[in-house]
Amino acid sequence: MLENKFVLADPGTCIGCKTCMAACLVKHFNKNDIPLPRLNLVQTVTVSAPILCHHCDDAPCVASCPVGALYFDGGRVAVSAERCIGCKSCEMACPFGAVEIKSRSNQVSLGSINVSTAPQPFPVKCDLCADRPEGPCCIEACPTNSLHLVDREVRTDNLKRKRVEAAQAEESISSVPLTATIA
Amino acid sequence: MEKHYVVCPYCGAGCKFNLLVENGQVVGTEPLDGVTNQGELCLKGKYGFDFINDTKILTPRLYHPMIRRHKGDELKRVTWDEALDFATERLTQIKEKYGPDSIMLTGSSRGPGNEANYVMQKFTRACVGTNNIDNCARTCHGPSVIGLMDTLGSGAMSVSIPQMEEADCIFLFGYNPSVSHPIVASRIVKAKERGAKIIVADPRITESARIADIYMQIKNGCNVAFLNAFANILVNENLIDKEFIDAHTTGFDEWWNVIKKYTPESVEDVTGIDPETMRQAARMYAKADTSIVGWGMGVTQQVQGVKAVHTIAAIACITHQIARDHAGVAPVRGQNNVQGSCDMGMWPSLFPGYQKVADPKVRQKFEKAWSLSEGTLPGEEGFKLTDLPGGVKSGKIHAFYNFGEDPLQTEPDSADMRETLENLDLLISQDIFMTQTTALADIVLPGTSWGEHDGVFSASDRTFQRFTAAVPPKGECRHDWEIFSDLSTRMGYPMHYDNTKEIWDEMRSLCPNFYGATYEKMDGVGYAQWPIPTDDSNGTATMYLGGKFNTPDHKAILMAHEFVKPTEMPDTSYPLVLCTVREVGHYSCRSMTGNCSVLSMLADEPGLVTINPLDAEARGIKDGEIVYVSSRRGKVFSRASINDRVNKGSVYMTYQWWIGKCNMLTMHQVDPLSGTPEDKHSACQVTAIDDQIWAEKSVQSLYHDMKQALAQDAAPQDKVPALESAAVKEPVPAMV
Repeated sequence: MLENKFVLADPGTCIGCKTCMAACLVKHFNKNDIPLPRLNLVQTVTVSAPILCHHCDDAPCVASCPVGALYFDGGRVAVSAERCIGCKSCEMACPFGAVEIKSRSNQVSLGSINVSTAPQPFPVKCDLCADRPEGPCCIEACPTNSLHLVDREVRTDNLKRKRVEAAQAEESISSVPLTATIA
Repeated sequence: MEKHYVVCPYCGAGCKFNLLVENGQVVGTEPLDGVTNQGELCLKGKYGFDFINDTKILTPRLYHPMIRRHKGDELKRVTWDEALDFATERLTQIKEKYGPDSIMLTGSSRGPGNEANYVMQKFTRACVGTNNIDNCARTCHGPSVIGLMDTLGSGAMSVSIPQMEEADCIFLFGYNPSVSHPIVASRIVKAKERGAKIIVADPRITESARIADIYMQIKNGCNVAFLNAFANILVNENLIDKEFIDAHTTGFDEWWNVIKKYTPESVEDVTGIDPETMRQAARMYAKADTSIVGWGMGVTQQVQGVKAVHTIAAIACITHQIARDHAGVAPVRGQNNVQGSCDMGMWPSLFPGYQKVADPKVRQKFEKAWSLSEGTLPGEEGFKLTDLPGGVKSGKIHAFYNFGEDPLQTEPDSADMRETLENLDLLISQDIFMTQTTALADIVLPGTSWGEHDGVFSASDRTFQRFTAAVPPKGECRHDWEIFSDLSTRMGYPMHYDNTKEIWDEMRSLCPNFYGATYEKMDGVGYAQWPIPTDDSNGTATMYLGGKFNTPDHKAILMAHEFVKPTEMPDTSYPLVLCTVREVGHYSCRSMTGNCSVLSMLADEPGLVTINPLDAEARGIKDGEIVYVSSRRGKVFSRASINDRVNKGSVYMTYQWWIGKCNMLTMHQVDPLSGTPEDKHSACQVTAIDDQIWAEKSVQSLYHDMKQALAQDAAPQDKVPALESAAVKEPVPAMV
C-alpha cells in the first residue's frame, strides 16, 4: 500500500499565527465531533511549525489500540471515536505527539487540569478532512502557504530533485575532465 | 446567501473580505483580492465576525440607551429622547459651570469608521467648543505620529504595505508582525523568499527573528542607546549619503554632536549587542539598494518613544533609505482605524487632514465651512487621553465622553483608571458592548456595530478603503454619526447628514490631501492612498519622493537625544522586567474577539505570562501552571508559558485579558513628549502557587463572576420603559 498522505509545515515560512488551528477547529465544530484543532503549533528557538498526524503506513497508534478506535482507511489513519475506551495507548505510542485523548462532553476541566474523568473519550487527531472534497482546510487557510499535502507525487519530486542536486554536486570529483561545452 | 464587502475590523493591515449573510445573521467570511491582503486572511479576519450576532460569550451587546440619573443608581433603560436630553442637560451644565475644556472626549479607532469620527470631532470643536479630543494612538503609535511629524512633516508610514515585500532589506525594530499583523508578516516572508535581507532587533526571538540574516537580542529599554550607536556606525563608516543630507536635511552638525559619543562599544552594556554584529547590521541596512525600517510598540511604549522615532527618522534620512520607492519608514499601526482617527483630527492639536488648530487660517476655513462665526473655534491644544487621570484629580476634567474604547482595560494602572472614571461628574459611553468602562457610565448609548454600518477605514499605510453594512442595526442601535448629530442639534449646534458619503464628501472638501479619495473610487476592492489631492489616481504609495519632505522648508530635520534609562528598573522586590504584548487571536480590549466563538476557544483567560526557562525554574514554576504576577500597582493571576524565545530577566504578558489583566501591574508613567505610557518596561515579580486546583478554581470563579456582573449591568436594557413599550423594537435573538 504505502500510499499515505500527510500535511507538513515549512518551518521557515510558518509565522506561528495559528490560522491553521482556527480553521481546523471550525472544521470540527459540529455535533458529533469535538471542536479542537488537530494541529498543535510548536515554537522552539529556531522552529515554528504546527505538528500533526503523519498517517504512518505502519502506524503505532493503530497497532496499540486494543479496540480498533484507530484504523486504516485507505492511505490515512481514521478514528472511530465511539469505540475509544480512553486507554491512552495511542498517545504513548505516537512518535509525533499527534494524537491526544480528549473528552467530547461532560468533561469538567479547570484550565489544564481535568477534575473529573472523561466519560466520552475521543481520540483527537488529523483526519485529513476526509469528507472535504477540496482537501485539508488548514492548507487552504495558511496565509503564508506554509502547509503542504505530502503525497506520492510530492515525495517523488522531492526525492528526484535532491538526487539530481546530489549528482550535480559530484561534478567536481570526476576523475576525468567533463566536457565544458555541454551547457 | 448575501455578500457584503468589508475591511477587517482588527489590525491596521486593511484586509478586504466579504461578510456572508444568511437569514439576517453573519455566518462567514470570504477573502477578497484587496490591495494589502491579496486574497489572504489571518485567523481574526476569517473567524472574527460572530460577535456581531451577540453571542454573549464574554459580554452582551447593547441594544437600548440607558442612564443613571444619580451616581450609585442602577442603569435604567430610557428612550433615545430621554437619554440624549439627559446628556444635553448634563454636558451643558458642566460646560457652563467649568467651561468647555472641562469636557474630554475620545474617538474610536475601531469599528465605527472615519465618518463617525469626523462628526465626533466636529461636535467636540464646533458644539462643545474644545480641542479635548484624542484617540487610542496616544497609547500606541502616538510617538510615531509626533516623532515623524517633527522630523519629516507627516506622521505616517512613508511606504506602502505591498512595498514591504519589494524592499531589498527590512529592518524590524521592536516589532513582532507575526502577532500584530500576520498579513504584513506574510509579506516579510515573501520578501525573504525573494532574497531580501532581514534584520531584527528585539528582546524576544520573534518569528521574523528566526528568518533574519542578523538577529540582535537587545536588552529591554535600550532603544535610544541602540539607535544612537547604530547611527554612529553609519557616520563613522561613511555609510551615509552626504549629498542627500546636504540637499534635503537640516541640523546634521548638532545631531552628530550628540551621536558621535555613542560608539557601539560605549553602550554595549546597555544594549547587550556585540559591536561587530551591530556594525554588520548597519552596513546591511545602509548598503542595500532599498531598505525599510519597520517598528511597533517596542519603540513607542517607552519613556523615550518620541526620541527613538526621531532617531529612526534620522537613520533613514542620512542613508537616503527614504523618499524612494521601497525605501522608507514603516510604523505599522495596531488598530484597524487608528490611522483613520489621526486622519480625522481625533487629536488635540489637529483638525482633520493634519491641519493645525493653532493656525488661524485653518481655523477660519473650518469656521466658514461649519457655519460658525469667526473666532469660535478654539486654537489651544486640548488634553491628551493620558491627561485624563491627572485632569480628573486636579479638577480640570469633569466629564468624559468615551466612544468605542475601553480605557479600563487598555490604559495603564487600571486601579487608578477606575478611580478616575468613578470620580468624574459625568461619564458617557457609546459602544456596542457592555464593557468594563461602559459598566461605570452614567449614560450608555448603543451604536451600530461594524457589519451594521457603512464607512471608510484608513489602513496603516494611508490607504482609505470602504466597508459596507451587511445586516441591519439591532434593537434601537443607531449609527454613531447619527447619535453625535442628534446630540449636537439638541445642544444648540444643528448637524444633519443622510448618509456616510455626505459626511465623507464634506470632510474631503476640507482636507486637500484627501480630496481625491471619492466613494466611487473606493467601491469594491478599490482604494485611495493619501496624499491624494486629485481624483485622477489611486494616490501616493511612496511619500517624499525626490527628498521633498512635508516640513515648512521641505527638508527633514535631524534630531538626536541622550539616552535615558527606563523609569522603573528591576530591584530585589520586583526583579523582573514586565513587558506587555499581544495575543495573535485577540484584539484590543477583547470585547469583539472575546465574543467570537472560535477565537475565544483558541485562547481564553487568564492569558499567558511568557517566561524564560531559567527564571521559571528559579521560582519552581512549571509550564501551564497558574502563577501570580505582582508589581507595585497590583497582583493578578496569569498562566505561565515557559519559552526560551524570551530573554532571561523579562516576562511578557498579553494585554487582552480581563482577569489576567497586565494593566493592573503597569504604571502610569508616560513619555512627556507624547503622553504615551511606558507599557514596555516596568518591574514585577512572578510567584508559583502550590495549590493549582485552588488557583484554577479561583480564576474560573473570578471570570464567571465578572461575566455575570457585566450581564447584570446590561440587563436593565431588557426592561421596556412603560410609556414607550409599543414603539420599541425587540432585540434580534442571539445566535450562538
